[in-house]
Amino acid sequence: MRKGGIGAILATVALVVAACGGSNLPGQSAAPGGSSGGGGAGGQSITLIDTNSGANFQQYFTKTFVPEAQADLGVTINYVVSSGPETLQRMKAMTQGQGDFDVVFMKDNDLVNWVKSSIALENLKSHLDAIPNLSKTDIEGEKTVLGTDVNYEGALFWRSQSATIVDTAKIPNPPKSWKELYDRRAEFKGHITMVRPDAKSGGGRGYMYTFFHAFGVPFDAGDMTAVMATQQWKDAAAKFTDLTSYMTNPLPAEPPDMFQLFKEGTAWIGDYAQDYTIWATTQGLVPPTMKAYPMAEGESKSADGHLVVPSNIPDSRKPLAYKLIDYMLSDKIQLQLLTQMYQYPGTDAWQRAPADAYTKIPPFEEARKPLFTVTNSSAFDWFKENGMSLVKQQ
Amino acid sequence: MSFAEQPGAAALGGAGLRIPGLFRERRNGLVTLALLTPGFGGIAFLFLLPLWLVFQLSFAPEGADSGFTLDNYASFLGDGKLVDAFFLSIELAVLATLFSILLSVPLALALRRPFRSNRAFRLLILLPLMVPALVSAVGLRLFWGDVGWANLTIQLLPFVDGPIRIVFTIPGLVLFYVWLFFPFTALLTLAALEGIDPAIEEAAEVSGASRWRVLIHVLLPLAVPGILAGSVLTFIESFGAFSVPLVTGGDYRPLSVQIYTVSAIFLHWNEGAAMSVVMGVTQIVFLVTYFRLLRRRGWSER
Repeated sequence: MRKGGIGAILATVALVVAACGGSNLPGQSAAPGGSSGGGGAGGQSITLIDTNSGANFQQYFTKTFVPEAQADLGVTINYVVSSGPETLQRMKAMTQGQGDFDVVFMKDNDLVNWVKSSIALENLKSHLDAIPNLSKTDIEGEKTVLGTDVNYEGALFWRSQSATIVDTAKIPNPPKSWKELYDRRAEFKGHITMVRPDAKSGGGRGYMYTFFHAFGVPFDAGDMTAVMATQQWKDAAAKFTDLTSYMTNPLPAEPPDMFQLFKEGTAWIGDYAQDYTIWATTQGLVPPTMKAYPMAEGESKSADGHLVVPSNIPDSRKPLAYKLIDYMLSDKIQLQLLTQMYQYPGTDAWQRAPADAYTKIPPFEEARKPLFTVTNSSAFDWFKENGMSLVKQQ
Repeated sequence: MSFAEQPGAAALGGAGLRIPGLFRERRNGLVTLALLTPGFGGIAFLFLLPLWLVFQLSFAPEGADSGFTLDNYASFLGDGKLVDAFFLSIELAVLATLFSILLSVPLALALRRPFRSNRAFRLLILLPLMVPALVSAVGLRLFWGDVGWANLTIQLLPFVDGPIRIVFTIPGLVLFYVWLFFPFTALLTLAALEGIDPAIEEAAEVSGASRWRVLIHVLLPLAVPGILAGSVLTFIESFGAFSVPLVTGGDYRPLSVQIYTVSAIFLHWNEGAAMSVVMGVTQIVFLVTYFRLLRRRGWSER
């Protein structure tokens, strides 16, 4: 027992020490969707962090973009899916010359947050010689994002938006405006759909904001108390509540559930992210007869996608980062966004789109014209917590 | 062997001096403690500490990590929708448990007899446990939906005009809960029945009892501990079910889904923590009451 007892203790300690050992170095996270880390010895590699893409684009990056980019650029690309908050924390901890990721793809509000957090990012306009395709974007538009001076620290990769989505097999003559949809609601009884406003997805909240905006609610009248005191709000709220009685019952809990309703033939018309919905037609998730278009009163502009280069990465890696960004802004990739993923490009590549690019989505100028920017983000919070109180279904 | 009987005890002054035995006992105790420490430490660090943090968070003001307020509990208990969700969770768990028992007992009685494909049936019972809950939820949603295989089959019946709404209803949720969680009851019931000495059953039959009386007065009473143990697990799982009601519940959103909504979507972590504490305490109360009833009836000691 004496030897056995000591041996047991030593074995236990050895097991505990072995179990506590990890494979990741400090500063690295094993984020799903890829490996992390900087370039290995003897071979060029680059790490692209994606904090913006949904499931559709994660699949695109993994299966299409990365293999093609690796072949075209001759480098290894580590594609890592992460979140904005996590990446921001890693950026704050990044010391000069020690950064372990090279390019970050993010939403426009994340870019604004990073700039306001004094995260050091490269001024991409000053590297136009290394990123010639940057000239195809609205460079001056990247001086200011969402009203904040970001000093050209982002390159616009894509433009995103919501759209009215309709199964044209069920509704050959869809309504052109929200007012027309409301007036024809009896015609579509039980077949209008939206994601629950208290869902993880913001699709339902976007639907409500767009509907209320269409009926003239002055969201910039002040805080929500002031907005809700307006007659326009009261009228729009009554109309919305009435409209919900013509919607699918119950409302889908999340977008995949909504897609299933379209596939079953229960849902005929809704409003959601254009790219995800039309991409879903290629995956068999929704009927192939689905199309997207903007309503006359407008659709909400979703978060655009920007590429940035942290200033703290080793200087020797920055040329490779610029090379990757240049490649991502090339017509080849930008037109893939349009033709394969139904997402509008960040560059002017839409001008060189093939003739059949717009069979399911509207042409670029037609789609972007009626867009409006959400000016009252607190309205989204209100819809999130209280939106279901306006839903009255039998 | 007492200390006085141990070798060398007399040389050490007899029972008044217990040093060698004491050393041996203390060393054994230290070894035991050393071996148990990693396990207990792991449980404490990975399980108890997070629970404590949630408990602490439930009393902190919204947005804070520390402090004391009962506002989170007041907010939960004052929200009729959330209170309804609490009672919905109980309702679903109780119904699922009852139906699981009704399904499991006959099944276990059948499976305890050897027959062809007995092993295959036993494996089928395990099927719901092998599939991740979210995958099950999606499958149930598709199968039982208005245009799913179940409804397509049902509509072949002459007196059925249209699809029968199963998904997004309470009966549908109970059906799905039973499918997912009855294996716990079934397996433990089967184990209890198989643990009964066949001689007892034979003795009853030899004594003139009919098969029915043997079942009612011999087999089932002896199997009750297993049935109840399995039903406890079924109840616990049903009470905390999340994926199934999220996907197939529609407007019927039990407490687990509401906790997710309040915490992860509304970002009211403190209120969500309070709801979680209430949920956990409720389960503990149920279990304690349950086991006390068992003890009172003496079933736990059979």
